[in-house]
Amino acid sequence: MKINKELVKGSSDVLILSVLKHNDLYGYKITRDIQALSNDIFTLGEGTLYPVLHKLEKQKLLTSYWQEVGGRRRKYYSITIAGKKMLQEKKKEWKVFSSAVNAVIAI
Amino acid sequence: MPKRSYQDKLILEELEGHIEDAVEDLVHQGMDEKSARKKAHSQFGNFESIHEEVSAIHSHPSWILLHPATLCVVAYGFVSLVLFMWYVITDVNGTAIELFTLWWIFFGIGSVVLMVNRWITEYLGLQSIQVIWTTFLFTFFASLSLTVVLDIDNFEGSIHALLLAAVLIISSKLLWNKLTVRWKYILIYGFTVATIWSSAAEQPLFDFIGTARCLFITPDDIPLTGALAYCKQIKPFSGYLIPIYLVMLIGAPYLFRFLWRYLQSTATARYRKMILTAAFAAIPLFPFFLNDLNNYGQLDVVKWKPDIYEVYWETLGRRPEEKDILFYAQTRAYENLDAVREVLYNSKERKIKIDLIYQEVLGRNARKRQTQQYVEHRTSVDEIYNELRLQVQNESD
Repeated sequence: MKINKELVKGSSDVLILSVLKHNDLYGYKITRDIQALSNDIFTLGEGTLYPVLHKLEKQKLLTSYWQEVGGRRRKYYSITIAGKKMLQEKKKEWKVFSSAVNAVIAI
Repeated sequence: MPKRSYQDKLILEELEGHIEDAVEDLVHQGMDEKSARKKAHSQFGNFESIHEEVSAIHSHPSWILLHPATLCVVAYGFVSLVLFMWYVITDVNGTAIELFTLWWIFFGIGSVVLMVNRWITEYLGLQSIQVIWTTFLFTFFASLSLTVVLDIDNFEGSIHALLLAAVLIISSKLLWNKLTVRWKYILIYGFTVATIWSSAAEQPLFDFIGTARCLFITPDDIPLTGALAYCKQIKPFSGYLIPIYLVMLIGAPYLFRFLWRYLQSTATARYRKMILTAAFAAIPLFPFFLNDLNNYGQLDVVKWKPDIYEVYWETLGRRPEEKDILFYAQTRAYENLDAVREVLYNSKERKIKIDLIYQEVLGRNARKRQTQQYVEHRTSVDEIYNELRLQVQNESD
């Protein structure tokens, strides 16, 4: 089933913050993890991923560091305390939103 | 080709890295490299457009979020100015410029080491255990260089720095993956500040555990006397120095290998490569330059000058001469000014000075018993003069 790209784009902040909650990851791994965790339903395009990652980093919700792996460097992202707080808020917001949508579409 | 900024190069490296990851993944799934590369590029989409969009996020930095290196320079300049003015205003003994220069040199070295360590951290990444080895090694070499500058013979501070590094490396090797990014930075920068401060202040890090032994290399076998009597005399190849030599032998090639790889990196700004090369070159060259400047330890004596001046004013009623200062620089007698004060109170020059004051105020020499009393009561030259003037005034009244 294909999901509207705009819908995924709108949720990209919370998806990225969620996969970074337990592990520090680099860009490619973030897309792969989101895809795997959503059973291939969400595919976060690179055109969405990197601007969002850099925006979150600028907002201090993520920090980053470089790590050398196999002769080349990878930029790893790590969630900050502010990022974790934001994720909690977004989760609550999502629960309220999804239950409201469910309530309406159940009619 | 347009000139790219450092930030721009980092973004390019990250995006190109993403494509390389995709290629590796596809090859791993059984695709040949050429097809994998083609597919990875097509999956990625419009590279230039994504690159521009990400660059735009960083193109308008807030003025308040200055780069730490810039902040460091601004803070350094500000503190320099305040200290300079303070020294000039309170300059009683004419040592303001010397004291200021000394502070400027040490703070400058500390700032450069902190900045270089930040760049090493950015390049290697905080997750890498190599980052601890490299930053600690660089800091240790810089501190060793400062030790030679300050005091060519006293290596206890460097041995203490190695001990601290060993403790931190062992504990961080066990805990590194559990530490947050903030704590990793605190560990690296904390070690840097503590080690450089220890060298600049000649205060061994673990001095609090027990009295410092003051390891002193004296190749010419000059006996350690006076203020240095408590020091331990060692030879250049003494067992105490083996840890330092070992770290130098293993560490120097390791650091140069790191520098070589850093210079090869395409995603590193040219100015950083130049400064880093200069900093690495300065480690072995710096002591030669400053030791020349510090000929006969004159740099070391600067911070003691106000105390020496005070002792001379008190006992002899004059400033110390250049030859006196040179004497203190060479013998480190400033470390035991109480003994110096004792010697000067009993000196022939002081007796002559007292006679001169007596001649000027009473028209005769001081009696031996009187001179001896001045020594016993630690009466300064100024006090003697004022006392006699008061006595004459009372008699005439």
